[in-house]
This record gives sequence, C-alpha cells and structure tokens, in this order.
Amino acid sequence: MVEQTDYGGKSTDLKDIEREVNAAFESTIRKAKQKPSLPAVAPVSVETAEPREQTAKQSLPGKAAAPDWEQGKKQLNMRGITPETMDFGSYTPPPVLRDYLRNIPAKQELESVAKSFADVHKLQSPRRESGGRGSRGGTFTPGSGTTFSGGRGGSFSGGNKYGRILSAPDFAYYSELGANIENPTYREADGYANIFGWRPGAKDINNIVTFSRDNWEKIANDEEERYPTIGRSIYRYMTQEEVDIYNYLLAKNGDTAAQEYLETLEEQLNYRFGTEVAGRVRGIDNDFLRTVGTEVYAVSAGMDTWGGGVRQAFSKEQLPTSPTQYGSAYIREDLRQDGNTAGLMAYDAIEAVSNIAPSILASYLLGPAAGAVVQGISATGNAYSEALDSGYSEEQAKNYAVLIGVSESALQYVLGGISKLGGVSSQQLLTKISGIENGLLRAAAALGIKGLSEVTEEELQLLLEPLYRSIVSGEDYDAPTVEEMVYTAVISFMMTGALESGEIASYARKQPANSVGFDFSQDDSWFGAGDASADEYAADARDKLTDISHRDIIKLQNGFARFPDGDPLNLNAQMVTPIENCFDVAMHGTPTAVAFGSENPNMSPRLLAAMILHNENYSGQSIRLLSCSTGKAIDGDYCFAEELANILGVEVLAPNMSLYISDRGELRVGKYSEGKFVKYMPNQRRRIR
Amino acid sequence: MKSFGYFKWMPYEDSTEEFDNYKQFINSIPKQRIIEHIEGLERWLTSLPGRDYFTGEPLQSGLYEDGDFVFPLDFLHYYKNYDIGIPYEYEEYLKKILK
Repeated sequence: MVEQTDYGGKSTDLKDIEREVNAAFESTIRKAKQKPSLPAVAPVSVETAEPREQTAKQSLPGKAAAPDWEQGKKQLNMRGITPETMDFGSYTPPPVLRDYLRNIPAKQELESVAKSFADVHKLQSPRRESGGRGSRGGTFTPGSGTTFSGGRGGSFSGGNKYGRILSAPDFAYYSELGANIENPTYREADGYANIFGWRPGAKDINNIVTFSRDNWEKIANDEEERYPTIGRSIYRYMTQEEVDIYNYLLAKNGDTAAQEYLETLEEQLNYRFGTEVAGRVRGIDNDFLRTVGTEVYAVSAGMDTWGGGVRQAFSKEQLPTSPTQYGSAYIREDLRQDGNTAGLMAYDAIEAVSNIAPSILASYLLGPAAGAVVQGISATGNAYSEALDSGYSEEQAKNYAVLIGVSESALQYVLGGISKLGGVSSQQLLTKISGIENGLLRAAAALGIKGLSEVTEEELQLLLEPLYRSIVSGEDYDAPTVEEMVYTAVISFMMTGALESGEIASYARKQPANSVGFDFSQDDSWFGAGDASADEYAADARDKLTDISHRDIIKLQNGFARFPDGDPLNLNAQMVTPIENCFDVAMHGTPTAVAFGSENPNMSPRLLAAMILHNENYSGQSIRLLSCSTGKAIDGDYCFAEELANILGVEVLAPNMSLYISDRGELRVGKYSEGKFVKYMPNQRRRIR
Repeated sequence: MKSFGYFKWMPYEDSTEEFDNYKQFINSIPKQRIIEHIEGLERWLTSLPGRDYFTGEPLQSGLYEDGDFVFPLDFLHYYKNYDIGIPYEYEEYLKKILK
C-alpha cells in the first residue's frame, strides 16, 4: 500500500515523489560532470565570510571526480533508507522513507537535497582513524573507493527537516522578529572578568547566531586564545536561509527549539569551515608555501584525529566530525586529483607522525606501555565513531571499537617499531646488531628492523580490521587490496623513519672500541698504566688507570672474569653455566663502578664497554654482570648496569645486591636469595635521542 | 632462614651482631667436629672486601648455608682462631645431623 499526501497540487503518489528525487540526483550529477569543481565552498553562500578567492586551483577544471548514483544510494542508506527500497522494481517504502519524502515540499528542495549529497560525494571520507594508521579511512588507502560519509547521517538532512518552515505563511514575520532580538555588545556580554567561566556583570546573549555573526572576528580570536569564549565563530558559515530559519524558531518556538536546529547544522558548518580553510591552503599560489601549508595542516589533522578519538572514547554521544577532519579530507582529495602521489604520501606520513606524537608524549611521562594504551584509547574512540557512520548499532560499534583499541595497543607494544610505545620485539632484535662494526650499516640495520616491525604491526592491523567487522556485524570478510597494503607499508616505514631517526642515528654513533682512537691490536697493552691514549680516553673519574691490573683476563665459557689474582672467585666464575645469547663479565663491583683485577673500584661503564667490545668472543650479545650490586639503582640514579646498557646498546643483566657464586657455579643474589638480577634495556629512560 | 655470625664490622648487609656475645656460647659438640662439618659445606663466594677485624688479614667473603642457617665464611675464620662458640640453636641442629 502506497501512502499519499497533499503537496499543493503536485503529485501525491509516493512513487512519483521518489522518481522526482531520483531525477534531481541524476540532474545534479550531470551538472557536476559538466562543471566539475571541488564542492567545499561553492555551494554555500556565506554572507559574512571573507570572499573566497576562486582560484584555478580551487576550481580544478576537469579533475573533479563525479559522484555516482550508487554513492547517492549509500548516502540515503546512512539515513536509514536501504538500497533495496530505492529499487523501483520492487519498491516497498519503509516508514523512515515515507517520513523523509513527506518532508520534501518542493522540487527546489529536492535539488537541494540532491546537491548536498552530490557535493559531499566528491570528497573522500574524513572518517577517523580506528585501528592504527592502517585504517585511517582512506589515508592509507588511495583510490580504495572509500566514500565520503558526509559527516553523519541525519545531520546534513537537518536543513531539509526544517525545510517546510521556509514556506510557512508566518515565516517572514517571525524570522524578522528573531533577527531583531536585541543582543548586548560584545563587551557587555563578556562582563567585567572571566573567572573560570564565570563572567560577573555579563549580560545575556539573546540571539547567539546574530551575536556570533556580528562579532565573529573577536570570537575567533577568543577561540584561539582563551576558553571559554562567548559565541561561536563557526556560525558565520550559516547561509542566510539557515539564519532565517533559526531566527524564526527562536522567535516563535523559543531557545530550545532554535538550539536543536543549530545542532542539526553542526556537521554542515564543520564541513564548510574545514573545507574553506583547506581550500585556502591548497589555493596558495606559491608552490613552496602551499607545500609548507599543506604539511602544517597534516600536523594539525593528525593531532586532531588523536584528540577526537580520545574525546569520543570518553563520550556517550557520537561527536561531530571536526572541521579539521573535513579539511584534511579535502586536502587529500586535492592531492589525489593533482596526481601528486609523493605529496599525498608525505601528507599521510606527517599526519601519521603527528597522530602518534601525543601517545609518545604520554610514554615519556608514564612509560611505553602507557603510551601504547593511550594510542589504543584514541583508536577506540575513532573506531566507534567510524562504525556508527557505517551504520552499525551502538552495541556493534562498541564491540568493534574495543577490538580495535585492544589490538592497536597490544600490537603496537609487542610488534611495533616505535620504541617509545613499546616495540618489545624490535628492541630484542636490535640487540643483535651491536656487532656490526660499520656505523652506517648498523644504522641501516636498525632502520630496517624498526621499519619492518612497524610495517608488520600495521599490516596485521589492516588485516584484522575487516575481521573484526565480520565478527561484530556478520558481514563478509573484506580483505584489504594489495594496493592498500603496499601503501600502508610505505607510509608506516616513512613514519618509523621520522619518529625513530634520533635513535637510529645513535646506532651510527655507537662506534666500536677500536674506532675511538685506541690501538686494540696489541691485545691489552693499551690498557696499561701510563698509556697515553688510554689516559686520554679515561675522562671518567671512576677510571683509575694506574690501579687497573695489566694481567690477563680469565676466560669464561662465554665471557671473561677479572677478580684479583688468587681470588677463588675466578675459579667459581668459571663454573657458572652460561645462558644463551649472553656474555658474562665477572669482577668485583659496586652500584657505580667495577674493580678490574682489584679489590677497589677502578673502572667506569664506558671503559668496561671498551673492554667488552675489544674481546674477540663478544659479538653483540646481551651482557650478564657477575659483579656485586652493579644492578642496584640508588635513589633513582643510573646504576653501573644501566649506564653500560646505554653505552653498548644491548640489554644488561646485573644483581641488585651482593652476588654469591658457589663452588659449583650456582648464583644467588643476597644472602637469603632475596635479591635478583635486574634487566636494563638500552635507553630505557628514553632520555637519549 | 636464620642467620648468625654477621659481626658488625663485616662488609655484608645487616651485619649487626656483637662478637663478644659469641664468647658466651659453650657448646657440647667438639670444636674440631664442628669445623670439619662446616669446611665440608659448599661455599658461596662473594666479592665484598673482607679482613680480620683484629689482624687485618684478608679474608674471603661469602657464606655457608646449612639447613635453615646462613652464616658468613668469615665466621669460620673467627671460630677457628678465637674463643667463640656457635649459637645453641645451630648446635641443636648439628646434633641432629651429626649422629
């Protein structure tokens, strides 16, 4: 049964109305093909906006991607209208479509609806990142067919819900009445002071839209400099028609109804604002300045993605897509249409770096695991929002978001190549490259290990995302394309190189001992008292070269010992069972120095590191110090083992109390075995860059 | 575990005991028997600098573990060379195992 309604002489047959919608869409699409242009600002008439320079760049003749009907149907689908209902051959209108069509009073509005759909289709989705950079909704998936979601279903159609108001007989009267509602001046509204948002003496604003539009410059400045501000500068992006509707509602139905209307416009306004700013960036004539502006925008977009995700993770309501995300989508599309693949990759890499930067900051404050968790929280929020945009129920969206967040955190911590966020596996692998003598090769190996670890993490996340979608929604597994995976790999590698450049460079600087001015070819002769180069090298006050014995070291099964001559510990140390991939170094020790062949401390970590690197049996393994208390950090200071780990760039195990070695080579730390061997990772405090 | 023989001049953590207190222990097990037993225990050597408090003679640092008892290697040196006994609790333990 087809329901009918009366629209002043127009056909009331629902099928006729639907055909009209269809025709309006197709008409708009044809127009778009004839006069392709980026949609960002052109369809919007903003009275108070600065006149936008309609540069050739913004027009982009011949480059606009024409929207297609399938995309239009997807947009309708987001509003609760399924593609099936649009199939005229088997048309069965659901209630939501009936309501929708009832609210369209004239063809002019149909065109408006169609146009807004067509406009937004031309941009790639500003969908936020969910599961890591790999699923940045198009950021890593060039030409993947990701559709612009048009912000949120319903939000863009808000204007149409209120469209009937325009033809109301009392529209002119009430809209004028609302427009004439008196507002205080900006100064009067600001009050005499701003005490945590309390403005003593401030007068109430009666029409927030006209007030904000009248004072948008001051408000915009306020929004940059202080919080909270009065008014919202974004209202300047309302069309006159929208302002009239707001004024009408305010005057006739009151503030609540008017505010509800404003909320329906939020996505649209964010879209207009974001794309206008991005359009200005991409419209800069000077190539260099345009590139700089674009990359600066990428930085803000990445941080905005992170912040939006975190805010969404702690919000029950779905938050609107930010202007920055709309702008970022615009820029990416512009780069794509330019055929500027290198620019697009650079943009994505920079955005990815800035997206992860806040989590790295968290790791500095709270440790790598916390950094990974923070990144996971952001991914959770973005995944939730993205899932809702895709039509998932709240429950499905929550489940999907949790899966994404947890796997993002865990994979980043375990597999990722970003050391500040864990990267446990890559850190283990990095301990194997200390034996490479050439600094450049060592740095290249470090870059390779870190880059491949990050690529592995991102690719895995890319593969898992559709799996999670399949789990929560029952849809078929939609595997990423080869192109997506390759692009993800490239961006991940670029991002890792940028974020880890400092640490990678440090691998080049960690020169083996025989490249710092010593002649190690003469066995340990360089090490004797009075040796000029050794004196020069021993800048550390702990190095007492005249006290260091010139005698041979005692070879262990995998390492060496140098207790004083005649000390039975030399024998007991030889009985110690080695552990795999660990080089044992045994001598008297304290928390800050060791005693090479002596009872008294006489050697710094730096000098011992040189000894170890010089040993012919050392090939970059981890170090186990069989020396009392060398792993004991007092009051948070660096202990000997931690310093040694930082110098050698390998893991160092050391006892945090007195070490006892039995005649059979067994080890115990503390007389009651109450101590332990503590593991120190290179640069574990993240202070060395 | 119970520890004894950590005299307050020794380099180990928690060395607080008074040497003179050990002069009061009069044990029934012959001293030589006790020394032979202790010398048969496995030594756990450590690298702390040990010296005889009275003579300055270098001593090997470390510990012996015997049942639930832990005592420093140095204790054996003092037990051999000075007129001190072993704690009664440890003596009781030795009586059980030295049958």
